[in-house]
Amino acid sequence: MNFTIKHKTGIDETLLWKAFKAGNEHAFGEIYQNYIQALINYGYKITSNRQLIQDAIQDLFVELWNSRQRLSETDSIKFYLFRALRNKLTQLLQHEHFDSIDDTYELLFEQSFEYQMLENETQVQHIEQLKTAISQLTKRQQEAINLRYFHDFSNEEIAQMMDLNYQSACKLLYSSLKFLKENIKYSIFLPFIFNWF
Amino acid sequence: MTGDYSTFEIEDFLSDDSFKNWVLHPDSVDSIFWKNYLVNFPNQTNKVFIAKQLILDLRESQKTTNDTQTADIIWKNIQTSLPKKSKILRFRFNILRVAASVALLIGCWFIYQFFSNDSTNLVLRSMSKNAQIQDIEEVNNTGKVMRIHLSDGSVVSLERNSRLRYSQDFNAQTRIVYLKGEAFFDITKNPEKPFLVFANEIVTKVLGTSFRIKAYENDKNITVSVRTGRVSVFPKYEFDLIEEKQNQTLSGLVLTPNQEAIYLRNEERLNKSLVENPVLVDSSPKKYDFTFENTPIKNVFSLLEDAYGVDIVFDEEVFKGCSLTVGLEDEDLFEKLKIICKTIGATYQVIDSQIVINGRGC
Repeated sequence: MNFTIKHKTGIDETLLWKAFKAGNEHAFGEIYQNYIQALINYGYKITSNRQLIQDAIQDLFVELWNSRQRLSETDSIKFYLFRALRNKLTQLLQHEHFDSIDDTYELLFEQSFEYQMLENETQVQHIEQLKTAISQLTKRQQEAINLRYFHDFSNEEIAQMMDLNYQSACKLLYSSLKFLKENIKYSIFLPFIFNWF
Repeated sequence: MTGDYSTFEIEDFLSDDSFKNWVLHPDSVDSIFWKNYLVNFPNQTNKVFIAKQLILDLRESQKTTNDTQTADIIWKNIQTSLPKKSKILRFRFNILRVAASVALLIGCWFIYQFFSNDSTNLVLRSMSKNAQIQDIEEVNNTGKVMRIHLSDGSVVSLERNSRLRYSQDFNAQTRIVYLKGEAFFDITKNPEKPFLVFANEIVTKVLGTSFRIKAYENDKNITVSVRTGRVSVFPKYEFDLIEEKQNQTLSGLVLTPNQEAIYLRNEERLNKSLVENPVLVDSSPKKYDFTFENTPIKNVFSLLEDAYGVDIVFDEEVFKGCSLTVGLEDEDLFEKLKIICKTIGATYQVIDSQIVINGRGC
């Protein structure tokens, strides 16, 4: 399988990145605005320490600005930022022995969940069920699921980001998916699957 | 895409990149494959839809509300930790360095004067000229389109309520015009001097072609649509940073005939699409014959691709049994496509600048 970075706004991203590399502050701000929420969301998958996530993202962007001339002509800003954030957080966690058990994470994911998007109660229940099942996965499995289905990264990108080879990343995802499939009663899907036609 | 798709289980679908793409981006080209898959493997339908729903639910399960407060805090912190410009200046402007720089500049000046002759002395010439040269501004307040003939032979058709500004010495060293409003440009080819149009937040650069720009000050979008040749479009802030503006190679967002660039001013984004009504690339009569008789569909599409300079994406395998017998001389491209698709039981979509054909074949 070939590794291609997929993104819908490729041309704009390349331009934006170029402009940023040339020292355009406006482009820098735009990159921040485009990705900050996704980065915060992903940060919570690695640690539940909010302060740590804040510090990591801050460092990340300051370093990004200061080293902009040395950066490569990367195609996917998103991929670049995610990988950088992951490295930062891993480093910080190793050095400072942060206790990653903290309930802010749970709170954020529980309370903020937006139900208005969902069609009916069955689906709400189902998502709850899915969340419970996900919480039984290992941290790395949860991270891979988050990267793949929420942030829309490909298997190859996930492998690179999590320092795994392609096969191991696929295996990690596959075992998580199998577990999820077996631990949710997906028969409850059937009543509304056919609504799509 | 690899693997034996006929025996795919739910988790196989879930971990397939192309499948995920189809679910999360229904407009993507992957949809062609998966729609056909459903047709070819009807016994997999249940699994496909369970997998599809699972992906949507997995995404939903990962959602969090936007934490704008944290985002703002981090941004403020970033701002304060970035090196201040004034600080850098203060460091650099100590007297010794200034003196050294001045001496160096004077030295360079003498060397420059010594070696330069009139024909290479462009910088100086344009500097001294700029002092006297004024801009010409053409304003169209009439009810009709106004034709402006530029000194390089190019013709600009300026629409009503639009204005075009250019320097009196246009074409001396550069070809630059400023547009407010809408105009059609027919540009004389000169690879040595690219023609540049500045219009609101975008810059359009061409070597010799024809195209239309719509850039009214109160419009939400700016569009550049290409009739002939190649055109490249840049957001202005990006263009300002390019070092070699007179460079002959075109970069930026490159457009070919019948494509258009749309700049969304609110989002500051440049998108590529097809023009509303594509025309024949070569308009000489009888260049293309649109009378089809039992013509394989593959040939029909490739004729359309040539004639209108567009990309048509379709699955050759699926449509290999289809052929067409019809005369389509008078219809425009999209009417032609409508008729063709109806005949072979397919549909078409314009995605970015491509035309994607979906269907089950014949």
